[in-house]
Amino acid sequence: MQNRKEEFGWQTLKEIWNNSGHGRNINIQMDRLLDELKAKTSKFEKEAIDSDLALLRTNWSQTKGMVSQFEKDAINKDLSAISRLLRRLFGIFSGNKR
Amino acid sequence: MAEQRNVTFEQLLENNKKSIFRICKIYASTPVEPEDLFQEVIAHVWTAYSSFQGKSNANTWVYRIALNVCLRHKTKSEKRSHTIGLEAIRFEPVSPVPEDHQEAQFMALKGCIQALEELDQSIVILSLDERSYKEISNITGLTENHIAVKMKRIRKKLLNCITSKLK
Repeated sequence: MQNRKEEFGWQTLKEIWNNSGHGRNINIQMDRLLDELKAKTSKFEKEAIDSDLALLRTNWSQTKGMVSQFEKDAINKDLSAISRLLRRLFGIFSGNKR
Repeated sequence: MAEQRNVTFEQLLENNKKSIFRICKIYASTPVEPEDLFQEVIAHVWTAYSSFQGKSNANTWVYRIALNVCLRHKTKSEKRSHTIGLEAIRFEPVSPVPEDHQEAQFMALKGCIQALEELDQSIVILSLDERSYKEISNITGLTENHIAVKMKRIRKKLLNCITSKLK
């Protein structure tokens, strides 16, 4: 009985959902749309990237202040180890060339 | 499945435009926003269409894009200043205009869906749109069993919510 009652309720929700698409007719002029999309997508993509970058910048500015001195020191240490290694490698290669 | 790639862009839009619009209506925060969101979804479908390889069902693929765009829009809505503005897409009011009680019912449903967790929102939207558990699984990445369990709980929650809203 409970299941039957629930099922009826779910069907009602589906009807509400289906009716929600009936408020507007969506007319698409396909040829024109394709022309517009071809002309606009590169601009659209650029804007999407800009918007993502803005989001990253906002998140970074919130995160930046939360990076501890310990983490900064660890990153500096890693970076200097990598640059030492690269210098040695360059040294080896330039030595071999001579 | 590979033959799905043969679905043209035009067919994809015609087959899915009503479903896309319904999804946009759920995530929109103002009355005009579903139309902007719809256009943004179409632009995303267009840019991704060239890389669609037909490994999944084309309609499933469109749903995934629509949900992603709408969810991303929700997190970025304050920062966006304008939308793509496609003039080839026209939204015309239907006649007869839907009755007030239909709009009230939809707003109640929308409110109840928005009160759910993000993943549950996607699941219930797809289920209301008659997608099978298998398709929902392909879109959300959850197993069919997990979806069945979740749906049981979501249905109950949604029905309780809407009953109290429409009292």
